[in-house]
Amino acid sequence: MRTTALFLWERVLKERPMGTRIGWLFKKNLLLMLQLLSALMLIVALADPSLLRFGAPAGDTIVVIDLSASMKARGLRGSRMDEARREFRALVDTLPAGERMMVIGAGPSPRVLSPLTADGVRLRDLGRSLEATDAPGQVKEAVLFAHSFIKRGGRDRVVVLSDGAFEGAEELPWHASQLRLILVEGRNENIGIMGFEFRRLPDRAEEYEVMVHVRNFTARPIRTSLALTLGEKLWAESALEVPAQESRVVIYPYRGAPPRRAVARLGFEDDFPLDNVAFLTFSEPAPLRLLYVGKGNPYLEHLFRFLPNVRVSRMERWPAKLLRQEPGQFDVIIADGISLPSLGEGNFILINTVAEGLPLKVKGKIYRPRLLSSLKEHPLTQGLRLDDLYIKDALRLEGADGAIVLARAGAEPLLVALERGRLRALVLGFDLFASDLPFRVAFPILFSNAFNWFRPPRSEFPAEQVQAGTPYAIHVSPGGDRVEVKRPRGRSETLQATANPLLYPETVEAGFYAFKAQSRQGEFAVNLFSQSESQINPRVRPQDPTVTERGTGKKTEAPFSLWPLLLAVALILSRLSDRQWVVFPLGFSPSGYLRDRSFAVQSENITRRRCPGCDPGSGFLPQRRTGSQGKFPSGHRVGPAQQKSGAARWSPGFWTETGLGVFSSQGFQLGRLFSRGGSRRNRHPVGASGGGRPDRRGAAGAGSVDF
Amino acid sequence: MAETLSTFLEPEFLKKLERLRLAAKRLSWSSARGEHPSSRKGFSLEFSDFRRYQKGDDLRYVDWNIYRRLGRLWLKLFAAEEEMNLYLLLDTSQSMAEGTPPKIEYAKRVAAALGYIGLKNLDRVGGASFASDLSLPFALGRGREQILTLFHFLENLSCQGKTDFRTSARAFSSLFSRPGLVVLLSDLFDPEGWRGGLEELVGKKYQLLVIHILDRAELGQEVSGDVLLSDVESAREKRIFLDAELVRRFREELERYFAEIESFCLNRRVDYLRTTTTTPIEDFVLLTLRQAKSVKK
Repeated sequence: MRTTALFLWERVLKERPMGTRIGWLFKKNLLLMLQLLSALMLIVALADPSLLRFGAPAGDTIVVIDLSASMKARGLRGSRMDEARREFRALVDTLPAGERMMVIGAGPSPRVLSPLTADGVRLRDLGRSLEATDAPGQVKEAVLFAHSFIKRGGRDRVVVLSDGAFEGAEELPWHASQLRLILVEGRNENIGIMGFEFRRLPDRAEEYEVMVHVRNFTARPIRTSLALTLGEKLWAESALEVPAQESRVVIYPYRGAPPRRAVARLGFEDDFPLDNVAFLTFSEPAPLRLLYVGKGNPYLEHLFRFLPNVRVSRMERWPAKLLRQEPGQFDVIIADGISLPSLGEGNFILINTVAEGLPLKVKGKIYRPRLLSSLKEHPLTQGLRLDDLYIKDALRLEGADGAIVLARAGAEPLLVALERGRLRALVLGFDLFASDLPFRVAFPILFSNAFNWFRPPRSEFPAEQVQAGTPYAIHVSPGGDRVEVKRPRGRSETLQATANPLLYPETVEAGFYAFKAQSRQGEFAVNLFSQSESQINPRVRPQDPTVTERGTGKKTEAPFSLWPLLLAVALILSRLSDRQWVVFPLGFSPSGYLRDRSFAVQSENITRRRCPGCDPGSGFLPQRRTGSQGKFPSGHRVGPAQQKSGAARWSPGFWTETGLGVFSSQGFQLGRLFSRGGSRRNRHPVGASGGGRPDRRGAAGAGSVDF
Repeated sequence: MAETLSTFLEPEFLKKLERLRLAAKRLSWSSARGEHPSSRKGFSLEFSDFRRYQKGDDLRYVDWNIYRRLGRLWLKLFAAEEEMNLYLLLDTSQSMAEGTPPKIEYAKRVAAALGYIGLKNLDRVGGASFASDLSLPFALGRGREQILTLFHFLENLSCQGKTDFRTSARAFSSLFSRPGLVVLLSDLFDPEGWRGGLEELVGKKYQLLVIHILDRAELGQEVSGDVLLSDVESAREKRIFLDAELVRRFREELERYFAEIESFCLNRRVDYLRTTTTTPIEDFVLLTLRQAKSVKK
């Protein structure tokens, strides 16, 4: 632009403050910045960011998923667990990039199923493998457990995926901002068996009672059938009407030997079929295999005759070879006054002797020890009284770590319990003949306690059953270290018995379990039997604003995917930077500038080849504002120009101006061209019209160059 | 040649110009009698004062009526009328070629009008053009032939070169030593020289009338965006990004520049008129020009 007052412009520019200069620089490159910003927006959009919460960065998410039995109840689509899996999948899908998620399963005990991770693939795999158990869940404990992972003052949150049908649900602070419940609901009609037992009548040997406890959890009375199957045979079936929210106990008399298995089944199809079936197993307890090693003891012999279900073997010498070959042959070994080698594993009663390798040393003898009346509390001393016990002489024992002194005379231990791995031992530091213990009531009690300690008695005679989720104690024979357990659905697992009894915790399926040890095999049943779990009505209502009801679509924190917005912004910015008239009505577009320059080069080349008479410095540009670019009718000769456009190169120092050009079948018609200036050699106005020069300010008149 | 000579002005406009005349504000510059009243006492028809008669005075100017009433001799004094020298000093630097219409064309027409007024009032009219130095001077003269000389002078003017008013003013004062009314027609885009040039002329006792001619486009930039500014008189270029703030600041600077010139002229008792080329020439000459003390009806 020509000016007569450049000195005034220079004065203005000199006086421009720094802040304005920066703003000037910004404005000068505004369109370039818009283009860069547009590219940045596109890149960010490709990363698929999403906004979970406006105005605040989200923290880690700890998902507590209810794996209790009630999740097997029917939901709106499939089971409630199916709904929970879908919700979990949605949570994972909307997990913002960089944000982590931890998953805690609320089964019989809270369990971390996945540590904090941002790996969506891993979380999705986990979601597919999630299964509800047949056991009551500890959801409240799991929520409290999850809260222990929340950073104080952070944005972490706990999301609970549950049907709300768990004990203590109403006590949780659902109003807290860090806690959210996604409620998975379904229908709530349920009637279930809450108890199933065989009882032997106390005064009759072969007579039993079969007791079935049924409860109706619905708000209306339900009439159903109850079928009892003993073994493989249907034994009884009767109709039963249970009033709303009430229980009925049905007792059937049974005479004869109990069957190996019993199943009670309700004939009503409700929304929670799991508790409509109950299982029971029967098995006579295996006899206690006892080995007495010693010179013989009439007091013990007499005692063994009176103890039920005991099978006694006798030896005078320590059967080292036998025990080495068959370590699980005996349940209890009594060593009476003999010298012993080192003991490995098993249950032992050592009378007036100590084996090598035990944390107990013999330091001589003591005479007429006076036993202190106070006994240490222990399963071996339950109901035991040893006041004024007479002992002629005893071993002077010195206990080390691991020795539990049950009774002492002064500082000298007389009764000691030892427990180390799979070794259990009761040590009597005196000879039974040198004491009046065999004449006391304490004598059979002490040995009965010892046998029970070595192999605890069954919880309920004769049935073998536990509640789902409760560990079942499998008594392993000494020497047996592998136990194979087969679950109701056929899955088998082999366990290493590191202790006796072996506690089997995975009782998460209702039904019959079979186990097999080295010298023993058996069955046990697992039932739900939980009124709390069978109450499948949610304890919390979705009126709570922090509770999101499944299917309503009213999620409190719906994640917002940002890529469409970013893409739109990028397109708008791109259009803005492309439309110079939008930003600068009379201004200059850097993008247009670059386009002008490149097109000028190609125009120059075309002109040189096609129009030898033209000024080689001339350049043309079809102005984009004409709207004709890219919309040439067929037959029009625009190919060379477009090809050249792709190969256009930068030509430093070249400067041209935009103008109006129209391609047609006759060639390139040039309308207005006007110079903007540039390098000195090209500052003159340029034009086409066969190489002629147009007027100073345009209006060159239409000319044509044959391309 | 006379047939092709441009008179710059319409005949009807020339008739209107005849009603105007230039006013001399200072003491007599010329010994020749003319049309302009002088502060000196002379023998025009215009009464000025009385004074006592002294020996040697021309008895024709004794007021006999006073003598009859008071018996004393009082002499009637009349204002002297002198001719005036009118110098037309036109800026023909490259910047005067700018504008729509070009400023030089406007300056020529104003100069033609003023020269015509001067010559019609029997003033002596001379002048010169200047850019980087004084050029094409034409000597003082009066009469019909001087009008043709003036038109020739104006017609031959062409714009080129940079402005150096100070050097030009110094050359002018040495070339035209006789005092007179100097009418400067310029855009005064000479940041280094306008002040020095005006002081040179004021210092030489010239009566000055500065007619500051501008183009409307120079008063306000309408463009914005990335602009390469190219100085019309020099090869200097400056690429700037024009925004509203910068344009505003430029206008303020321009106003400050004009105010500085105007203030200078006011302090030096120099008549100053500013016009744009969009102002009709008749309006300027017949209306605006009369605001100057150097011109009166």
